Amino acid sequence: MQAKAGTKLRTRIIKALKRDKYLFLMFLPIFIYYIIFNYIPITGAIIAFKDYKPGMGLYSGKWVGFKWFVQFFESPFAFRLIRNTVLIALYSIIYGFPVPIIFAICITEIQNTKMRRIVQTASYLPHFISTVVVVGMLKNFLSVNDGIVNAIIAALGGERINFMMDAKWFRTIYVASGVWQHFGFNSIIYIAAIIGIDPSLYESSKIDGITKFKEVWYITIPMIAPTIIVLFILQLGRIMSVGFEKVYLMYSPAVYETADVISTYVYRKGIESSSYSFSAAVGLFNSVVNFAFVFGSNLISRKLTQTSLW
Amino acid sequence: MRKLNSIICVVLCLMLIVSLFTGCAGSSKQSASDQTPSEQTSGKTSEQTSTKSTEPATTSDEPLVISWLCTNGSTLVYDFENMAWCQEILRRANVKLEMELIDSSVYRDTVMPRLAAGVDLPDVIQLPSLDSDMAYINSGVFIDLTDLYDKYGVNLNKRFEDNPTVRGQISTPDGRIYYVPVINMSIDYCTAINMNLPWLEALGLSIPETTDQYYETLKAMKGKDLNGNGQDDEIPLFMRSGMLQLFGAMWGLDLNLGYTVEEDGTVKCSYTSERYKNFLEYWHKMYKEGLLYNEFATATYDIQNNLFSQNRIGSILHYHNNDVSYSQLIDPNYDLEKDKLIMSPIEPLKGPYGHKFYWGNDPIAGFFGITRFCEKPEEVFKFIDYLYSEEANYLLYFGIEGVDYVREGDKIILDNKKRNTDNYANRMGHNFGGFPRILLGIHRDFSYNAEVAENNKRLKPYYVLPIGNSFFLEEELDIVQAYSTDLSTYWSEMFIAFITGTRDLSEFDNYVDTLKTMHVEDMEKVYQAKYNRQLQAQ
Repeated sequence: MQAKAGTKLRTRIIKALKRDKYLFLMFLPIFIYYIIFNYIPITGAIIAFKDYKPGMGLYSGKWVGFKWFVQFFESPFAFRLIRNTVLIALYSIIYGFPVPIIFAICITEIQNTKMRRIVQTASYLPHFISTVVVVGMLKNFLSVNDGIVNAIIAALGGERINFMMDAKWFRTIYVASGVWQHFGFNSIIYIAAIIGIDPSLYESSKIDGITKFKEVWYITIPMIAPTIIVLFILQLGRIMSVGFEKVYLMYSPAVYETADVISTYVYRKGIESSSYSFSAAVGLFNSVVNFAFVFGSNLISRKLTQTSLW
Repeated sequence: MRKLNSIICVVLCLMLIVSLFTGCAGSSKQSASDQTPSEQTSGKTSEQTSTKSTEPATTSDEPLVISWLCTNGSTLVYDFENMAWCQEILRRANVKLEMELIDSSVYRDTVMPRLAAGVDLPDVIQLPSLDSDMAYINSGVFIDLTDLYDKYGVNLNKRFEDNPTVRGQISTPDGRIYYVPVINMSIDYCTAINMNLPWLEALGLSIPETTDQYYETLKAMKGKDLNGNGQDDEIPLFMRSGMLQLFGAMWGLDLNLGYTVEEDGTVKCSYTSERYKNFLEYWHKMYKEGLLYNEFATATYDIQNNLFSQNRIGSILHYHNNDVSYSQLIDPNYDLEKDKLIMSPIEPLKGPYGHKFYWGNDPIAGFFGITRFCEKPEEVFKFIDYLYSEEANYLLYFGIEGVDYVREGDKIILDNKKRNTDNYANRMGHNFGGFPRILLGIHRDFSYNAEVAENNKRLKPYYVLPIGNSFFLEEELDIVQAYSTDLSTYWSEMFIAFITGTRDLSEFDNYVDTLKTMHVEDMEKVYQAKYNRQLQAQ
C-alpha cells in the first residue's frame, strides 16, 4: 500500500515537473540562492556554542555550552537592547502597517488613470533611495542650527529641538522616515489585490445603494484580508531584527538610551572586539524569537481566520 | 497634459539629484571620522644611524611576486601604479606587488570579515586594528616572525635599537613578535587647541593660559559678530563627535582609552575620578551657555568644513598640522608661503588640578602581518625589512635623488615648491600608507610649511604619552571581552548626558556605583598589569 502510494507520488511529481518545466526552471535560481545563502550558513550557528577563533575554520574551537547566551543576558544592557529592538519594530508595524493599505484603497478610488499613475510612481520613489542617503537627508533637515524643520519651528516662535541628540525623538524619527520611505512600495501588493476583486460585487452593491465608506468596509477590506494577514505574519517575523544600517547611521552615544538595538550592540561588541561567538549566540537568539513569532501568529491566525502561511 | 508631464519629470529629476548630493554628504563623513593618527607621524631620531648598505630583497632576475592587502589613508585617489617613488622602491628590491588597495573608510569592515573567515588570504595584510586582544595572533592567521627578525631583520633591528620602547610594545607577553609595526617615533604633531587669532586680536584679548581664562575668552567671542557677516552665528568652540574627550588632558585624564596612569603609578578608570566630575561641571557650563557647539555629539567632518568656510569657528581641539587647511577654508586666498596662519595652536591650558599637557601620538601606528598562506615568508620578510632601510625611507619621503632632492653633505635639499604643487608628493607616493614604514621628524618638518613646524617646536615639550598599545594576556582577554563594551557604552552615553544636562551631576555617585557593578575595577587591574609589563619591557 505504502509502496503504491510512493510510486503514485513519484509519478505525480514527475508529471508536475514535465508539465511545468519552464516554471520550475525559473524557480531554480531562487531555490539555489536560498540553499547556498540561507540554508548552508545555518550550520555556522554552531559557533554560538563554541569558543571560535577567527581563521581556524568554523568547526574548530572548544565547546563552551551556553556561555555566550549567559554573557548576553548578564549584560546590564540586555533588557534595554531587547526593549529598544522590540519597540522600534512594534511602532514600525503599528504606524507603518496600515498606511500602505489606506493608501492603496485611496489610490484605487482615483478615476483619472494618468493622475493615479503619477501619484503612485512618486510614492514609490523614496523606496529606491539608499538608507545612507535617507539618513543624510534626515540629518540635514533636522539639524538644530541649519535644518529646515527647526527653521520652521523657530519661525513659528517655537524652541529649536536638537533632534539627533535627543533620545526622546529617536523612535519617532526612525519610524516616521521608515513609513515615508516605504509606504508607496508596500502598497503595490494591496493595489494588485484590490484590482483583482470581482467588479460584480461593487456593481451589485451599488444597485443596493451602498455608500462609499461601507463599500470599502464591507467589500474591499474583507476581500484583501488574506493578503493583509499573510503580510502581517511575515512582518511579525522581523520583530527582533530591526534594520542594522539605518540605526547605525542614525545613532550616537547621545541617543543610546532609545536607539541602541541588539544588532548595533552586537556589532560593537562582536565585530569591533572580534567576539564572533558572542555575536553568533545573540543572532541565534534573535532568530529563534523571530521564528517563534511567525510560528505563533500563524497558528493563531489559522485558528481564528482560516488564513495562514502554511 | 504633456507639459505637466515634462514639468513633473524635471521636478522628479531634481529631487533625485538633490538626494544624491545629500547622500554623498552622508557617506563621506564616515571616512573623515575614520582618519586615524597613523597619518600624523614624525620624529627626531637621527636618520644617519641606519644601515646604508642594504641588499635588495632578491637578487635573481625573476621578480618576487607578493600579494598585498592594504589601505592608503586619505590619498586613494592616486593610482599606486603611478606612484613613482613607491615603484622605484619595488624596482630596486625586484619585487612585484599584487596590490589590493581598499579605501580607509571601509577598510575595517571589509578586512575584518575576511580575516575572520581566514581563507584565501594574500601574503601580506595590513591589520585593520592593533589586535590588542591577540585575536588574530591566536587564530593562527599570521605567522610568528620572531626567528625571521633575528635572522633577516637587519634594518628593523637597527630601528629598534635606536628606539628602544618599540620592541616592548610589539612583543606578546611571552616575548614573540608576530607583526611588523608602522613606527611613529615622535609623539608631537598631534592634537592641540587651535584658536582663531584674528578674532582674539579683534577682541583685544591675549591667549588664554588656564581653563578658566579659556572660558572667559570663549564667552567674549559669543555674540560679537567677529566674522562680520551681520549675524550672531559665531561658534566659540567647535567639536565633532568623539572629540571633546581630548580635553580630558587638561584634567589629567585619558578619556579616549578610559584609563589613566595616576601620579603614584596606579592605573585608574578616567571616568570615575573626582577630576572627571569637575570636568563635567566645566563642560556642562560651556554647553549651557552656548560656548560649546550644540551638536558636538553628532557633528561630522562636512559640518566642520562648512563652518570653517563661513569663518564661524573660534577654536577647535584637533591636529594642529591641519591649521593650514583650516586657514585655507576660512580664506580661499590664503597663501601657504606668505600669509600667517589664521587658526593657530596654543599651549595647553593649565587645568584646575595643575595639569598642563596634551596627549601625544602612540609610537605604534599600525601593523602588517605575513599570513600562513605565504609561500616564501623569508623572501617576503626580507623585502619588508628593506622598507626600513635608509635607502627605501629616503625614496618614500624625499623621492628620487637628483630628481626630487639633492644632498649637500649631511643636508638634504628639497624642492618644496614642486612637492606642494598639485599634490606632487602625494601623487608620487609620499608616506604611502600601504607600506610598513618608520616616520621620523626629519620627514615631517619638511612636509609642512615653516609656521606649522615652528608651532610644533613650541608645543613639543607638552606632549605626553598615554598608556601605549600592547597585547593582553589570555586571562585578561576574557575580562576585557566580557566587560569593555558595556563600560564604554555606559560612560560614553553618560558623558553626553551629563554635559547636555539630561542627567544632573547630583547623580554622579550613582553613576560611579553603576560602573563598579559593571566590573570597572577588574578592568583597572587588567590595564595596570599591562602597563606594568610595558614598563618592564623598557
